[in-house]
Amino acid sequence: MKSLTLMAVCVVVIPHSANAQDWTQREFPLAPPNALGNIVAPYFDGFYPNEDGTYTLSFGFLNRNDSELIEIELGANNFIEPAEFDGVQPTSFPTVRYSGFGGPRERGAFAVVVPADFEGDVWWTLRTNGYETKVPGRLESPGQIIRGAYELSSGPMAAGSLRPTIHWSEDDPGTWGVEGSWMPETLSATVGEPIDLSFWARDQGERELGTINVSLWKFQGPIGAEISFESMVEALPDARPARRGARQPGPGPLLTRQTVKLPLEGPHAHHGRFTATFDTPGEYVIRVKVDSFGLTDSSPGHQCCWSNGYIRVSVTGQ
Amino acid sequence: MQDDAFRPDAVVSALEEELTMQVFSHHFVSRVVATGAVAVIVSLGSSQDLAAQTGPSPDPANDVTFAKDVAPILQQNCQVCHQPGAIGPMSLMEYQDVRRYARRISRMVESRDMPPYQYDTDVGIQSLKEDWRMSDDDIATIVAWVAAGSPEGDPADMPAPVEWPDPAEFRLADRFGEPDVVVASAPYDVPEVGQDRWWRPTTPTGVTSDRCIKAVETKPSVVGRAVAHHANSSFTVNGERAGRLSEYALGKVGEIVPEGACRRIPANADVTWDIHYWPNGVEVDDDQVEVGIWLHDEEYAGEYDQTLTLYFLNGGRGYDIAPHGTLMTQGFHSFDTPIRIDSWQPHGHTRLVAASIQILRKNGTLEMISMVSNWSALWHHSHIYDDDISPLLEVGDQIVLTHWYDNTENNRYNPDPDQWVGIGDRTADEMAHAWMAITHLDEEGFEQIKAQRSRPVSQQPDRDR
Repeated sequence: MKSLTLMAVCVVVIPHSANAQDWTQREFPLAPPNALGNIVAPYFDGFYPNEDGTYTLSFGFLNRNDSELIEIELGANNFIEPAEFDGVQPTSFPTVRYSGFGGPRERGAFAVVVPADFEGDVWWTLRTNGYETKVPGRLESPGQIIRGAYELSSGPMAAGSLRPTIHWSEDDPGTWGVEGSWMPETLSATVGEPIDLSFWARDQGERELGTINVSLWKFQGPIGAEISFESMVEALPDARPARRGARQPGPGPLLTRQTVKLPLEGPHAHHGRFTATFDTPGEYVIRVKVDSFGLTDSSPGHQCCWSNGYIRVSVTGQ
Repeated sequence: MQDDAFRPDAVVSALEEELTMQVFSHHFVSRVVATGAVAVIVSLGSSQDLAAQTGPSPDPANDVTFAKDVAPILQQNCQVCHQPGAIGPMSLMEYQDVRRYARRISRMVESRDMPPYQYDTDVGIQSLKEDWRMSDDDIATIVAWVAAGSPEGDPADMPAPVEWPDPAEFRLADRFGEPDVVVASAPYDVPEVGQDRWWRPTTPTGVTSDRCIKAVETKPSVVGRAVAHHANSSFTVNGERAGRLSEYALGKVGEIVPEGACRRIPANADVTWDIHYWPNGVEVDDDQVEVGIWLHDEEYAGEYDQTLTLYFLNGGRGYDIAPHGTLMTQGFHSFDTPIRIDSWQPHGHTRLVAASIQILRKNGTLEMISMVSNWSALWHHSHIYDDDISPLLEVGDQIVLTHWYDNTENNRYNPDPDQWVGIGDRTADEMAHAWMAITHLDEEGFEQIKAQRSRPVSQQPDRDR
């Protein structure tokens, strides 16, 4: 009765941009997935209407490689138009793999806020290995039948989940949302010397409150530079050992995408305590993603519930 | 900004021509309404069809007429949805109503957009249960009637009105009577606007012994049909998964388990729901989805288990469809016992345009089983094969599932060809899988079915049609 499954993928892509290269020259029906050398696709997730009449346009990405990190510095190969919105997008595009219908796509990595009277599109363009990809953030769409661009919600999901709050100090009232909260100060670091990253994250769901997951991402920084993250967060009392190959709960190194659950109680309740060590001087932005994934109404595929925080770090040589 | 974004004059003529007849068209169009536009579906294109009423006067002695020829066809194929209070956007009960939309009706039936049962007529298995397709003769009659000017004919020729069931009732009740068990989801308030929601309550079945299911139908509330994109249900016993009960997506009626097979409902099971709501411009308070279950007698055990399972395409790697691009993806599935495919239901969203199921035999031959070339996310049908033709697979044979996606302007359901589209739970994202009801046989059962099918019809056991 067991189902044995073999699968394959065939992708035929017709390039939109006249000056883009023809991908059909390098992608073949039923070809095995590429480990590296592929492109990153920018994604528009939808828009949030804000109480003040503005709109928040949410963007994400999909690294089509199986394993290779893609990095594209801001500038001619990674830019947003109109230029007033440029500069808030990532330069680092890791591969991700979410369960269920989450897939290999990172949603809501950043957002831009457009005014109430905004008309037109916000285009994010990326060029990877000579291939151009771009996507418009927009409030209306040109479809024959469906004209409404996808409207996202800030309110509670079906079981009451809401985006968690992120706080830069214990008494900070906190903010939430995909557009993110920026740590007020820029941290300073020296290559090879760990610095402390400290913040708080709280569930605000309209249900029994739960633990919040934290993941840390190199968001912007010198191409090829690596950030080593280490968690100081103790394992929760009811933590189960992770499956083989996954990160074990408790203090220790933390890779991009790996999550740490914050305690609900105790002296370090809701407190995210990590270190970051840099191998290259330069200007960095670390993305702090706090989420409630794992509840029935919260997952990447559901487009809820997480919030972004961003930390600027200026790193000098030894 | 939102009010300006969706203007009534921006609704293109193609929409008027093609969508008024789509029973669930208000599902999408009212999404436009949800973000500030006007309600258009009830008034779409009527002026165009009024102009079509001035055709030549037919010769009543020779031409087909509404009363004699067309009304019976509409009764049999259309009126269940197209009557006041039902889900069709206009009534097709009276001559004047039908005449108003005559040309559109002709176009929609000729293109087989209506009745909404997307299943190719010229390839693969054609003997299906609960088949909504209109016959070629009926289509020809309607086309000829419209071409002749849509004459009414003698009202005395009109068939007797049909007594239609309450739209709030289970559709399969016509065939099986009232369900033995009805399980309702916990109420949920669906907001008027906003992103998709997933509601996953658990409710008890009340069934205290293991039983075999004869048929199952998942039924959204009447008002909730426009916002319930899918409603899947599984059994859990003491919190542990205990098999799939049913799957529902927009437009689906139900599933019938073939005689001899058993889709099991475990004793003292709960039903765990996975209901995907799509806020759609209509606020629905306390919405509940019900699943009706018809059971075999307690003594019935069934010879073989039948399962309803989601079978993926795309390798689990995920996929992305480039702006203005297309994609084809496949999934291959084999089994460690002989099987019989009882039903096939492809699933995707607005970029899915076609789907097929084939069998790759272990001797290398490839058989086409079913093909849908005009997929519509508005209707998700479980194509249930007739008992005497449902495909049999030996160990070593493989099911080949293929989906085609179109993210170009050519796809009329595409909301935005400029977007990258990837895997996701939301209706705005894409999916690539098929639901299949499969009876898991053994060698003896496999040979027995083959032998039965080789007998003359008069010697075969009664078939459930």
